[in-house]
Amino acid sequence: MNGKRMQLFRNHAVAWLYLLPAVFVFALFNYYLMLQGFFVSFFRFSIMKPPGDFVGFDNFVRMFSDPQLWRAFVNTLEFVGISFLFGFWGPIALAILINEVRHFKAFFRTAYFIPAIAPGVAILVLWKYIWQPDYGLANHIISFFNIPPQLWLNDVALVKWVMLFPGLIIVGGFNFLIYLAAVQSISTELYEAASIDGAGIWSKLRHIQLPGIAPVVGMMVILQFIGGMQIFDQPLIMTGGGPAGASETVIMYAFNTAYTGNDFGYAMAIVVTLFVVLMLFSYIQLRLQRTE
Amino acid sequence: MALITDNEYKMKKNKVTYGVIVAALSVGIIVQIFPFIWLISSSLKGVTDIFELPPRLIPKTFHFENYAQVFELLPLGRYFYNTMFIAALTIVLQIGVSTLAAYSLSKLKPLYGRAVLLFFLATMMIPEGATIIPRYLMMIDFPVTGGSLINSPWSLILPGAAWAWPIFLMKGFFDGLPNELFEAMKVDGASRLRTLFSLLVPLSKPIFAICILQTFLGVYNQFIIPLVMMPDSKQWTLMVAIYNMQASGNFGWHLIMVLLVISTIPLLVAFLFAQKYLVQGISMTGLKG
Repeated sequence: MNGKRMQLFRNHAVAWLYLLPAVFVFALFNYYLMLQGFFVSFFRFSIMKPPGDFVGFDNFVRMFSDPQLWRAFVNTLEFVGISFLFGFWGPIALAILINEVRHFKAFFRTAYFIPAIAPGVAILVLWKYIWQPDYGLANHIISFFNIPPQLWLNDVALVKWVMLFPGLIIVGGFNFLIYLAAVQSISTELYEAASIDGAGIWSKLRHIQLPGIAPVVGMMVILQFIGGMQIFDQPLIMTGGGPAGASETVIMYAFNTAYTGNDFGYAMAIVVTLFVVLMLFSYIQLRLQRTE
Repeated sequence: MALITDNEYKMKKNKVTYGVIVAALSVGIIVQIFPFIWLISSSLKGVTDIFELPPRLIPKTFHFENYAQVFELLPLGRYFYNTMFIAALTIVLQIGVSTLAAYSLSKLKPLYGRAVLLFFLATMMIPEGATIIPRYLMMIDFPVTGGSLINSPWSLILPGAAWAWPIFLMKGFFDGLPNELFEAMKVDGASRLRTLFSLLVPLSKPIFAICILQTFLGVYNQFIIPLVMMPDSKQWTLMVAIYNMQASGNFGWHLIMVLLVISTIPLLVAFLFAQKYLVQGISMTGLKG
């Protein structure tokens, strides 16, 4: 009896040995990292002599009376809204359409996926060039429609739309592949049966395909929201937050507060709060999905 | 067969609908490709041509020397080396750590294994933007050992090991491997380590290919973190170099376009190699479910 228990213990111990490297790096670079960040938010953090003066919840309270932060927050929400308008439906529509193709499906799939391979930074810089008001392609193209040249990235009203526009063009990518797999996994008999019952294309779309991919779509909504709330690369590369703070996002504001303003404590307070908000949102979303 | 079933396809009016779909998709391809054509065209323009109005699609003269010029002006070899060094080591570390963990969770079944899996997966909910500043603070004064990892590629490589996605993918894949094979190894008296290397690894080539590809893509595209962690120009990665060049205002657009074209090539190569594993992998993860 003792020998068997020893054997069991040994088995589990060895299994844990294999887990240890991963557990160690995760504990250090994820959990400890966030704890350290959380810790810093309670201080007027000083790089010279860490951690600096303890200020309790001051950093958090300060967030409520910071107009620039609120502006960044509203901007970020606008970005999220636009990203759902532009970037969300494209891959789904594309997956549905490509699913219909009978010959050369692989060709279409590849042709749409390849443009998504270009490095994100490269795409952003390319479009920064295209949106150049003086010599860029965009103003040239709209001149064909007799629309006067625009300031694009320098236009307070247009800048967010302009910044996310490339996302509308590039519909292929990993999201598209995931949707394609989801659509393709729907049993073809369902279409046959519906067809026999006299269902048209739109009806099949609404009653078979969309419900069929709904779980995947639900998951992507959460991911898109979380990603959208943290948009930072686009404004950093294309406008640096301008014009007049119109494209400054929450993360960008926190970033500048830390590196330019040297106020890591406040920056971390912002980041921690965002983290909590996103966690709450994801949790609520998941609960809602489960009850459906 | 899908929205237009095989029987319906025979009807003329549905053939028209089908034709419209294919036409729309084909036009869409042109729209997708067009920015890249513009990119390549711009990279071959002369220093004044890029400002000329109206902008033309095909450059007046092809300035192939732009490419040579960029190589002369910038230590591209250095940037490329920096990027690849970080990518290679991150991949080795991450795949190594993840394989051991996934092997354990899937085949060795440790106690509290489910809790550990949750421990790993929960980290995927941490928004990336939230980690930039804490990571910087951690690298300035690294815990326990002290010292700074700023301007060291290890500031990117070490945290790169802690990504839950490969563990999740691998575990899913390993779970799908028939247990009889592993039983047979056990009966033969093979150690767990030997089972790992001589049975599991050879069988798991598709999932390794996917994980390696995704990690490579992630590291290659990383831009904010290397920008913050390694400001020294000798340590720049390709993406950081691109950002700094276009932000400096001194580097002509035509040369920047050259940089962009060059930076796309390694990814194209990587994807052409791994194309077939990708679609296989997506269906394997069961995400379609």
